[in-house]
Amino acid sequence: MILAQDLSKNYGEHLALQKLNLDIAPGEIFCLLGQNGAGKTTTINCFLGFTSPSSGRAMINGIDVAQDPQASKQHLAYLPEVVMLYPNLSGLENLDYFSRLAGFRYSKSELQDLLVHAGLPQESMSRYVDTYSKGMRQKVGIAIAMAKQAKALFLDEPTSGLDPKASNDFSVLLKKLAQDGVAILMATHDIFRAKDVASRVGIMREGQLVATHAATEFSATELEKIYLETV
Amino acid sequence: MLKQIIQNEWRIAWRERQLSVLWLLIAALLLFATLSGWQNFQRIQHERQEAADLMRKKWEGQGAQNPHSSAHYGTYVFKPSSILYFLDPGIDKFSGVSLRLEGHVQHGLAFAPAAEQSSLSRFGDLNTGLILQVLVPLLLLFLAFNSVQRERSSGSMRLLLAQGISIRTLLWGKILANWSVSLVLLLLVVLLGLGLSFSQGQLTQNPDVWTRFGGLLLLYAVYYLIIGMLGIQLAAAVRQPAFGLLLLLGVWVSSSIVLPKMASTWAEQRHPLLGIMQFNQQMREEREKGLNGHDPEDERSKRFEQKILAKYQVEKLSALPINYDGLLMQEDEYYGNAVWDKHFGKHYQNLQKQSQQLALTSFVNPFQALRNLSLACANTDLYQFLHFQKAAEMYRRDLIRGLNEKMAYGGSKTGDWEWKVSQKWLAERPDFNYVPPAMGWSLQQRKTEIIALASWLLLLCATLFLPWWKAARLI
Repeated sequence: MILAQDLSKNYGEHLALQKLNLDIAPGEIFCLLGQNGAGKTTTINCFLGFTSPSSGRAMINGIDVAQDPQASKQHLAYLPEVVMLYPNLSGLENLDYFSRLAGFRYSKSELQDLLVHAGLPQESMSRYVDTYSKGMRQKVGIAIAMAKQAKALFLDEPTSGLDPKASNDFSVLLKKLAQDGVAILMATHDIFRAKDVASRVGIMREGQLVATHAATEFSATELEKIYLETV
Repeated sequence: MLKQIIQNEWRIAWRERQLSVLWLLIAALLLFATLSGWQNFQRIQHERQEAADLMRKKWEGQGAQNPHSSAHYGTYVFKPSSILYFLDPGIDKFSGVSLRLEGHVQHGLAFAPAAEQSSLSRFGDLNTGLILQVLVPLLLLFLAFNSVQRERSSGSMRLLLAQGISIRTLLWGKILANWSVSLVLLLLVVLLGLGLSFSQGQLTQNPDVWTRFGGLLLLYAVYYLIIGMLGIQLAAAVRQPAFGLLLLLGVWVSSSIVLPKMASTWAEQRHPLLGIMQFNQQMREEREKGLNGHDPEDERSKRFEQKILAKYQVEKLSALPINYDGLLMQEDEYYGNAVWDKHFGKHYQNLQKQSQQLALTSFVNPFQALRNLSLACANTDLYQFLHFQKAAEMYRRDLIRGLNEKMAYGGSKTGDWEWKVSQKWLAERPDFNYVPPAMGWSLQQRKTEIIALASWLLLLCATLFLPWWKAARLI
């Protein structure tokens, strides 16, 4: 579903991404670990079409992103690190607008269900987003991603800034999405969260995917040790 | 998708207090200016009609007169105000509105209200045209800046693009949303204007008024689309918000204040006009010394005398069966008319050259095209003024010729200055009935401006389709 073939990106001399190969099947959660600047966000940007690769291909559901960015976007959903919404729209209105842009029309109760599902308390749905905490905005972002019913989901540091409870709820949600057959690529710093949700874990360093492990191979502490040795 | 974006833009702009307050403020100003413009128009129309009626009554009631006394008595005509005066009052204020008509001499228009005011009045009154031309575009530029800056500061662009919309669709959505906001203001004015005109029965009397309202609506709609496209593209092209805002304000100030002023100064310098004193003096001299400068008045008179004596085969003027004075005065009138035609023709050409030069600057500054075309649609521009001046002169010529011919052939003899025509005959002289030019005529003078606006529209559409527009510009 999510496929990278020798994906490379260089900015002049700087190699942001070197020959990345990745294949994430439906129902699989792949976590990218790595320090800042290791190439995690560049990888996601290539899949979203925000960055055009210098060489290699990024494919979603068999569609080359560089060749047909509009078509590839029908199959993907995206949750940025910081979900920035329109501050003077309510959570409900934001979700409605973004869904409509993706071609989905939901009734008010369906929208509310999506938000409840994402963990947003009912009473804050109609408030303007500028009164929301970071976690609440993140939940609207999750609802937006879910509303798109995409087969491929890209998450860029989705749990940073979430409290443990919210973070845990988020993991449950992700696992459920994977069970429904969604392929998920998640960039994160959170090793424990990664161990918790991932099917596979990849470690990046200086634009290269240096190691890939099945999450079940190790405990979280072992994983942390491997991570520290690798980067 | 476009519809969703437009609706969202409206909703957000409305919730952004400063924008909705600005919109309401402009709407209130427009209503106020249009209503007070209408009152002004009615007062002026009433005053001029009353003055014209009074002058006519005086003419008709002047009693039995020697025709030449009557030619000196003369009359006044008044430039009727175009009905769209209340939307764009044009040059009336500077050009004057009343014209004295008499024998021997062509007067200029008098009673320009601006002559009695300080030079501050040059900056213009608050009228509907000014608000539509200057304030609404300012609102459009603010809207453009805000709607682009909103995406940048809320960081929503990445999410929007991930939802599958293209940057072009987004920009179009913003352009159309902002455009429609300005169109509501425009429609408000046009509907109010139509209602006011309708209440006075002007619409049924004069179908040209419909065309002119339609022309104004189309003109401003096109201009707002141009400004909307320009604003969004500039705001999107410049990444630094402070610089973007400065750029847009710079465009606004230079297009609506600096460039037009520079353009008119430039046009005046390239094609200077004579002052009224010089103009009149040159005419007087040519009338005395002859059009070629070697044919003084007394020689012309002598030749004419010989011609008439030969025609009637008599030796002396006193033997003529007609009144030679009437013929001579009309002959002098013909000569004076030719002199006026020459000088007014030159003046007209100079004005036309100035006007053409200004029109050309529309290719640099679409505001210039808007201003000229707005005046042309409202029928309050320079060309209409000159049209009136010519019509009044033609009327004067007919009137004076009638009087001179009556003097010559009406039964009096040469030198008989006491002879009189009846009041009835004088009252039967036709009244001045000015028919203003139709919309088609007004637009014919403004082809350059029309082409310039169309070019701007096409250019800005084209730049929007440049591959240069990448999503990254809004992130």
